[in-house]
Amino acid sequence: MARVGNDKMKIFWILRHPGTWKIFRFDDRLMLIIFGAITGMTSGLAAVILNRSLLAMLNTVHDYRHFWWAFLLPASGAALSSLFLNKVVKESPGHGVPEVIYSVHRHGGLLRFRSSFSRLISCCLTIGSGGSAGPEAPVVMSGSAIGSNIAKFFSLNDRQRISLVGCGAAGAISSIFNAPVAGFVFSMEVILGQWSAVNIIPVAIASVAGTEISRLLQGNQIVFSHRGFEIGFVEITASIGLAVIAAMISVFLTRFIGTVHNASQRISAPKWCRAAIGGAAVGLIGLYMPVVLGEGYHAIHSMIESQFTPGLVIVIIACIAKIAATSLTLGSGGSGGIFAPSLVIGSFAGLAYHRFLMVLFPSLDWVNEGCFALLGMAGLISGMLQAPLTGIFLIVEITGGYEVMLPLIIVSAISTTASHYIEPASFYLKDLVGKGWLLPPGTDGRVLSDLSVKELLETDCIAVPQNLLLRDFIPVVAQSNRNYFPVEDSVTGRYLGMIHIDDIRPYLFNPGMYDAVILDQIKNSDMDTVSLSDDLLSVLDKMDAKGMYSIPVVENHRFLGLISKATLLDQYRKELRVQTTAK
Amino acid sequence: MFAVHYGLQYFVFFRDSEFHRNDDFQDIVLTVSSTRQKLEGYTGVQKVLDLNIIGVYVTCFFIGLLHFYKAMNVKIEILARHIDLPVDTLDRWIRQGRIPINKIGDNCVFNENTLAKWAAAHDIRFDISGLNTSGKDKKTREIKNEEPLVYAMQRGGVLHDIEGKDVSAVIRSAVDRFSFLSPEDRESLYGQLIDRENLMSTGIGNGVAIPHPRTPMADIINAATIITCFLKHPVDFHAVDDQPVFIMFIMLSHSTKTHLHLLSRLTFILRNNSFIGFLRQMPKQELFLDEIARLEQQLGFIKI
Repeated sequence: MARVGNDKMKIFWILRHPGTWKIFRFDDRLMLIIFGAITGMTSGLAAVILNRSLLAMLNTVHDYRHFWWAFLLPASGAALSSLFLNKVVKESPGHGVPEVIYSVHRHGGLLRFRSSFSRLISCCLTIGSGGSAGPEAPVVMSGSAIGSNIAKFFSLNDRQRISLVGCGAAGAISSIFNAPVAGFVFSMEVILGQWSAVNIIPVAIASVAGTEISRLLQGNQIVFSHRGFEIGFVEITASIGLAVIAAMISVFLTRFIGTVHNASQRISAPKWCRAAIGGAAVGLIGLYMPVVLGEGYHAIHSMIESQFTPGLVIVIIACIAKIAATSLTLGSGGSGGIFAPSLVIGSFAGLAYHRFLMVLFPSLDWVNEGCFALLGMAGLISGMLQAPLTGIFLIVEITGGYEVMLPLIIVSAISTTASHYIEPASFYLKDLVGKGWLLPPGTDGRVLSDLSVKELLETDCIAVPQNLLLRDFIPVVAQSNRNYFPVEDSVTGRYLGMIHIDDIRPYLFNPGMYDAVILDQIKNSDMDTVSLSDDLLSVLDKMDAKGMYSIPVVENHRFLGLISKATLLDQYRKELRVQTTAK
Repeated sequence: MFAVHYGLQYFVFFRDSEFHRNDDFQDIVLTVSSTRQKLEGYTGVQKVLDLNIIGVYVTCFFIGLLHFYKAMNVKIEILARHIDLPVDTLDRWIRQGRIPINKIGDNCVFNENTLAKWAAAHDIRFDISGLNTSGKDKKTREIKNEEPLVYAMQRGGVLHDIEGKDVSAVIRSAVDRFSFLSPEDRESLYGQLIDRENLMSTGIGNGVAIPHPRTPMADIINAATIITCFLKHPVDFHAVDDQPVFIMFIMLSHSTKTHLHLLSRLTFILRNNSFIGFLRQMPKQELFLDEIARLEQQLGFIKI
């Protein structure tokens, strides 16, 4: 309590630092559960707000859909959302989930406060005006940001903050889909990336809290309720084919979004113009195929209910149109997630597959087509996110159908495996893996990125002036524990070079040289140096390239110390043990 | 009535409680039982309600728990030195939540047991038992290793007129005059010194010999000792330069490190020819020690 000036402020200080309370000090699980519940409720609330405002927006815009200029609506929405993100809140475009994962991996879950609302507004503009994207990812982003900022406000440490980021994501997904298990599994599988015991409980509590908020405000309704399906052996066998198709589509969608993104980068126009062009294109598609516009839940509904009447060709065209619209919206800089479009594309694919089977084997007694739409959704979600459990639980919960469990598991597992085979990183992780930013704890890259040059610095080297005689240098050598001696300018203190004990060995036993040689002549001035801000991976590369065991650290022409591989091994092992050993 | 009973109980309990010093729950339980007896004495009530006693037990359990998880509050630099980690690493670990320590300003607040458990789980060895004495031990031990020559010589003293015509005889008569050793120890020391001489002469030239046992003698002495022995007649020690030896420095150390340190200093001083000349005059103890101290000061071994 050293910082606390007067007693009046002391109580606030203590309240804002619950990590220092006696009952939480030896075990913070209780504290995480409490904060997890708060985070889950808040992010659940954010999800409900987004849901409501989307509905209101869609209803307003719906009246203008039949005009010929309606294709300008998605264009203006995308442009506005891009302007808002770039100019007003100054955040990167896109849905934000990669940013959350990156922050969890590299910055201990630190997210900006404005992230907790910025994506909500921009995605509301994009989707509400007709852009083809999902509201889930933005809600995950804002839920995570809420969790992160709650942790920041209460001065929690990185591990606790990461837990709360997971709680936020779980609460958001649970609330928006009314699906507690899916939110929980999504958070563990995709956002946190590891099933550690300390995280599971608060995240589970948060998804319960998020779901409860949603049920309280919107009622307990299953998003896509349906009649029961009779699943037989034939359907389970057929689902394997659907899984492969879903995997192909998800890889294609992932790549196509990337292609459109790269193409739009090449247009030399401001970002909002690119978004407007993408939006206009989506609008044009929407004039002929209105089913692609918006998040598309209405279409899913009718497909599962078997009320989607068009034939096989139309369904395939709709599926391709939805892929194109989604790629154009997201690739050109619109704001929104991949969740809802995946569900829509998946159900189109399932429907098309079902109709194709009907043509191929008309004599067999096939299950209702809604079942295949449902399986297609699971296949596409699993393929896109490469998260089989999320796919399974999400579909089970949003459809309320446990009877499709068997084919669901098969589709999810095969789709994940197949898409992983072609595209090793999921849609969310693709960029991060490409940039080398994905560093799970306990890996070499993570240990090296956590350790810094400053932590490994050995400062017990004795610096010598450059015009010292060898005779005077020998007592210095006798005193030192190290084999390296930095040579510094006697007046300015500038670093000039290093002397290794090997450099003087030839003259050491020749007293005639003692007065003939000064250190300036022996010093090794072209030795590689590193600075404090260098990251350890590049430092090690430098050392390996020249076969060095120690490297001097020089900042602003001042010698600061040495980095040696011996000390590095010591610290590296400690770091690895601390990162990998379970609590 | 009930409340009065409780109040009285807690009052007695806290007044007499001794668990401020005890870490163990067992002790707390013992204290509670004695409280109960005392309470019965004070109130004259033979049987205190069991419910009340349970209340005391439960309260004591929680107080004891809190007490058990008592916090230590240490500056981060000091803690880092004890855990043998760079300050920056410790700071980062606290920030990342990898180590069960809270930071308040520059101070680390933690519980000793929790930290010890954590260290065992992660196979990180350290000793925080010395935290309260703020780590002075290590330094004093280092100083002890680097003790000046003159202290060891003061402890050993100077012996004059050692009789004897050959190596074993002079060592025999010198060891016999070590009044600080028991007869058995003298015998074993003599054996060890002769063993070392048989291996190779300790005569280092210029008429000086430094007999010493091959292994440290931590069981006999507790501080390094050098006994300076001036011989009555110079003796052939089979020294490197074949000069007869007139002075022996019998060196007994409790550790190899000290031994090497003292040996290095002694040989350094003995390279000085004028000092050898001074030794040949067989000075008295005070004069001799003064000269050694002066030389050590001159060479910067003793800081003034």
